[in-house]
Amino acid sequence: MSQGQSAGAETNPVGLFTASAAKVSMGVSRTADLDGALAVALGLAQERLAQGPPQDGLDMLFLCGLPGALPEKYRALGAERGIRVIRDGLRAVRGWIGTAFSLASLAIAETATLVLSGEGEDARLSGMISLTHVIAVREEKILMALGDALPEVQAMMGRPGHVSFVSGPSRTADIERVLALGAHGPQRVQALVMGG
Amino acid sequence: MAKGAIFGKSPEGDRAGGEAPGMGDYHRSIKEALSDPFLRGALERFYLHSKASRPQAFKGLRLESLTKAVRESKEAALSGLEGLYDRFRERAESKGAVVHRCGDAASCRQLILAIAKDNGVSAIVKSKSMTAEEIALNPALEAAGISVSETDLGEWIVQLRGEGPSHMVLPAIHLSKDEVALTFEESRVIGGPQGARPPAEGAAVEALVRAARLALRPRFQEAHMGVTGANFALADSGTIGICTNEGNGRLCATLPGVHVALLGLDKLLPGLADAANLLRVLPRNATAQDITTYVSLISGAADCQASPTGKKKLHIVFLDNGRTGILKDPACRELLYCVRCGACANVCPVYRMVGGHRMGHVYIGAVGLGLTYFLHGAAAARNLAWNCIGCGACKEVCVAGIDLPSIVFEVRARLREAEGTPMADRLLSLVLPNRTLFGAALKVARIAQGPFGGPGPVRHLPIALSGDRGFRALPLLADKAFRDSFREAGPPPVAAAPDPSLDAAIFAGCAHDYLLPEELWDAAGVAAHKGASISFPMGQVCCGLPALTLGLRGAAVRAALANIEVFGAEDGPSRVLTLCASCASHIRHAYQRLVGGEGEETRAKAARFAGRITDFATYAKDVLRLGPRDFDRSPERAAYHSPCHMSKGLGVTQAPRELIGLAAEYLPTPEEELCCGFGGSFSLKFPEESAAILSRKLGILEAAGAHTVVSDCPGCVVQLRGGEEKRGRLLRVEHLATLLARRLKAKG
Ligand code: SF4
Ligand code: SF4
Repeated sequence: MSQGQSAGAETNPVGLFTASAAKVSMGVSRTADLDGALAVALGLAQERLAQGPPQDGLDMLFLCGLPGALPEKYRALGAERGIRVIRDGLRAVRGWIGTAFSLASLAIAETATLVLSGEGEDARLSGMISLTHVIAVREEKILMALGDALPEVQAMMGRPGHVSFVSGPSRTADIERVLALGAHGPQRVQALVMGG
Repeated sequence: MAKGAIFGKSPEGDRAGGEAPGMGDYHRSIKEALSDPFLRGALERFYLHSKASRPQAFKGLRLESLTKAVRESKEAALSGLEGLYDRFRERAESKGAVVHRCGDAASCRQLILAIAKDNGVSAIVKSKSMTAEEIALNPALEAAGISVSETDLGEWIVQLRGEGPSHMVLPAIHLSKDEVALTFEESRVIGGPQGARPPAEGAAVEALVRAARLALRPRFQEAHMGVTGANFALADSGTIGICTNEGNGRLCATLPGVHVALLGLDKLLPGLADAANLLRVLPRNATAQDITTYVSLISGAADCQASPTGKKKLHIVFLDNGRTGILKDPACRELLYCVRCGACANVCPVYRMVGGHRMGHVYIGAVGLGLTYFLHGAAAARNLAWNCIGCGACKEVCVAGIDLPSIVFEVRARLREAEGTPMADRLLSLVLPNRTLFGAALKVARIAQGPFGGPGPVRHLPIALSGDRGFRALPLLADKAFRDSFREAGPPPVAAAPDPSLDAAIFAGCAHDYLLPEELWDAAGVAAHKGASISFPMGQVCCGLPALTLGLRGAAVRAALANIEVFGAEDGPSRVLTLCASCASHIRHAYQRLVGGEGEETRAKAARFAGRITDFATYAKDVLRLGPRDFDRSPERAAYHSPCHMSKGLGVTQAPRELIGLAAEYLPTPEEELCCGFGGSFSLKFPEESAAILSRKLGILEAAGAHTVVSDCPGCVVQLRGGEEKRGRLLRVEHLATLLARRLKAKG
């Protein structure tokens, strides 16, 4: 990766990722582990519910592909707070769901890009039809540059399906080149750096 | 022959059947665009916004090496295209996709229609695809009773309006938000008869985006088939890549049970590393983003609950439609390097004035001028191909490094070869490369021009004027050409101790030889002041650029051959000085290509001439080493108009400004590098555009409070001076050589 390297002052991946995220209107925060990340997601789901706009699905928090007992724990926690934790059935949603939580396989710091393996249709859809998308990534999986990420992305493309790069909330500048966030997809994307 | 002898054909020639069919309508539509204040406002905002944001996006990156990487990766892909296609097909099909290849637009429409019918599709959602525009897919689907919803916001807006896109990346950039609001109201996207109508006036962009998002969401839900384009296809893994910001592309690819991805064969690349080269430049050059919000890499058929098999029905359709023809065409092959970033429209002075509906057929901007000829045929390109000043702004900004103006000239030559050349141009092509004929023709012109103030337009020969062409005054032919007075008087006496290391032979170019010889004398005087001796080889002819821009390739080649004999011989002059940036840039960059088929010795001469040609500013600064002590500095405020062929053609930017500062007070002004709109024959073919560009330029200079405008290309001087004369001569316009000559300190 000789050409194209950003000459930004940041030399550590999290620092560079955070600086790049600001450019694409994406929030970044840290959590210790997956449990902590889900707690943040639940908090953001509550925020979203409070914010509206009122619609079916606003109270939903989609969790995908998580191991062990955590989803159950958060289903119960969510219920206490008026948040429906769901794990499938997104095709039936006609508008948007409030919040989706995803785990990124890796991230690219120079462009604040989260790389999602997109296995399972519901998992893929959740990033498209949620108003808030919370994406967690392990700190050691944040790489500096696109070039560094290629081998792993290449491996992901070996299987049939989608690999998605997500860098911030969906946006458009189609009218007068004025930037508006939240085109078809999420209006807010929050990256969570786990570990460290 | 008299009229238009130098820069192009006469308007009479134009109107007497010389114009291609449809040119009249084209002019009408251009005039409409120029007088539409909303369009002008939108385009102006867009131009300034793009210009300001692009440098930020490439900050800290080595643009040259990025461009080189794109070119190399595209070239490697193109030279093994058939193999790539086979590999892609094998890999994608092994992952459950179906891969098709269509030779032309009609068969491609048929195929996609058949896929829709096989799957019982009645509603389609579509994300932006220039390739779908290229084959006019929507009308074909709609004629078959299938509803098609564009989902890219800009594309949807133009669909609601029944228009085509006016930009390859930002399809609705020709509209203001108020116009979009009106369109939404009329289409009942907002407002509606019963509810309170949001005021169209001053509607916030965000509210419009929200309205579109709400209106389009059900369409995704209801559609049976999604149609998308793709930005690349990777043979190694059978993957297609789609870049979007809005997230509509991935919805189109995910929700419906059937996904048709339509893309040109030129989108094939070997693998992910090639895609990375593209991803580094495309979003940066297109919209000044480091990356698009979404990049979807789709490898084969993913799981899909909307499909009866549980797997997405993915059809990947490759379109040829002339692309393999371009591939075999060395002069235009580079067109296939294009990554469709749209930047060549963003910087184009013509696009800035008239927008994409007049600056493209389907593909828009400089690349559209070239592609249209190959993908849509000569008839579609016939008028379009002339609507280019040759300023080179597009070439400079292209991340694939495509020599776009040369391709436009090449297309013109082919149109001429196929459709015949109007009489006036045929004569020109005989006369330009032949100094005897040229001189004789101009003598006739001089007589026709008569003693001062001949009746009406005759006064303004040789660029004949009438009607629209009267937006600027044009100079008379000089009483005596430079070559004639030089023959008689010889070089000016050397004022200082003779220094042979400063000597130069002059290449005049026709504008200076016949229209503005006094500027050459000014330059010769400045040289003599420092002890240089100036020569003028009589065998020189027009550089040939005017012929090339008129599509007269044969004449351009003959002119080049004549000049390299004089200036490229091994024992020829070691330094050749010209005051014309256009000549210099043409000689430096185009001669070797033009004479490429002529044998090694000729090519060597062309290369030598290219190395010897020196623009006046570089000569004055680096060779003569003029300094403050050479001048009686004037207090006048002198602005600089940087000629396109100087800055973009020769890469000379600092020397002229420093020299102005030696002789006067250099006044920096906004957009010094904005084209003046001359472009030789362009200003005759599209006087309405040329006038609009010129008026913007002069407006800026006048507002800045300059006394004098200095430039260093005769075309610019003629254009700016003529425009100022019409506007009431607020500014003195002169060549850099003239400013330096008149402020030179007397020796002794
Ligand atoms: S050379 Fe200039 S006028 Fe011609 S297409 Fe390129 S930018 Fe436009
Ligand atoms: S020709 Fe160059 S600048 Fe124009 S769209 Fe293609 S890649 Fe971009």
